[in-house]
Amino acid sequence: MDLNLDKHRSFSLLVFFLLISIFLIMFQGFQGKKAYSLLRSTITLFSSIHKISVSMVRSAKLIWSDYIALVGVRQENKELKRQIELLKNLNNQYIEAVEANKRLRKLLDFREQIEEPTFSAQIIGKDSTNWCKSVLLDKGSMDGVAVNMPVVTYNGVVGKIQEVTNHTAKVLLINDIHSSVAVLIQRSRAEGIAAGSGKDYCIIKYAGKDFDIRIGDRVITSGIGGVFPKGLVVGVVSKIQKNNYDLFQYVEVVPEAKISNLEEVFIIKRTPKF
Amino acid sequence: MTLKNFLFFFMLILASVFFQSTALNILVISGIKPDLVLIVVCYISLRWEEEVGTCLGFLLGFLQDVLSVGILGTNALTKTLFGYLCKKAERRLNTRNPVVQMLLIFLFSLVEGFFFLVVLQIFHLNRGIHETIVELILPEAVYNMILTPILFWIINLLHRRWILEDDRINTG
Repeated sequence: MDLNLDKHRSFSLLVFFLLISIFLIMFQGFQGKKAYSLLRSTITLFSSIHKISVSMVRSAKLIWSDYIALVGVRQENKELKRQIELLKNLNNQYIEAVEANKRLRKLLDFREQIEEPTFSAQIIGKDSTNWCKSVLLDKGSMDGVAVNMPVVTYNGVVGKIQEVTNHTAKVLLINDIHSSVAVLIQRSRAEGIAAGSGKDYCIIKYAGKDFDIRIGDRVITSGIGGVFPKGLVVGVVSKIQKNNYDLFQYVEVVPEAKISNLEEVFIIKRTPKF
Repeated sequence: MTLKNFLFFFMLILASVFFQSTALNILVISGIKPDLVLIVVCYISLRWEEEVGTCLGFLLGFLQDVLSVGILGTNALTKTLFGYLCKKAERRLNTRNPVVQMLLIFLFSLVEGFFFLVVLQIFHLNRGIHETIVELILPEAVYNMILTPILFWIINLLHRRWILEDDRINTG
């Protein structure tokens, strides 16, 4: 009898938790982002522990790298001095090139790109599954972060803010299957939508077969979606396939930002225009 | 269950979730990361009472969902089920055998993968079915399976040392 009671108890518990899980899945399906408010407190609670664990991991990494750096440091010092001399020369050439560029810009009456305020954020967590591509940042609504703000690095677009709590924000990376960014090929101005593939690259959707796209072409944001400002680097075309029976060509783009090894990113403070 | 034992498992649970979402990059092979949470849920489920596995499965799965941009409740559902089934399997299978443990994890990983695929299709998040099975579900299942005996061995070792240390202190 006791055994039967135990059996029922554990089975009831299973059914109870399964029903909660199904409710959560359905709730998200029907309510969309409203379900998000339900999670704010949970994310806030765990993000503080996350921050501590990340700082511990980073400290360990630093100690390790500092120790390694000491090995053969004299030899490295000599090499670095030689490189500094080389770089000084290159820097002079670079300054000349920048000055020339400025003059040409004025001459051609190019409009300067609108510079919007940005602020940096540290990555304190990564998506725990293989099914989604996202990262957790240490900045939230208290720091001025809002949903749909673009997230970039020096190299290029990283993604956009998907969810925000007071002190954290979740970023949907550009290679996630939920992500899509309006882009254009810098050289030929061909337009398309860079959609995430769930892997390390994006796929340009709706690129007509007659569009002039080549391997190595740089892909930039077109600004059409309203989330990303025009002209941010997305990546480089790495693969093209054309099929006789398809209306569109298959184009793969490798993001310029090293998405799998991100540590620090910049959030562009701008209100989406849609 | 002593307090020290409880503390050990509590730390193991915390470590699995945070390791999964912070420092797991070192374990990523060809873009595939293992599901440490699944392995830990099964480990604890096999060593604790039936209800613990079920509750813990839900809690850890829910945490995984919260820290991801995926569909909320999917990990909670699968981990609850696996926490429950793992203990049930103990009655019919020799779950102390590493091969059985590996096969269990492999099977659970496959079931979880197919479940996620179905949910994605329901929510119209199109992902190539064949491609997903070959490039994501199968490699992850194999990876989890290979990691199972290693992780079980490490946890057992840590647990034994933890307990021995406790005994040494108690006996003076």
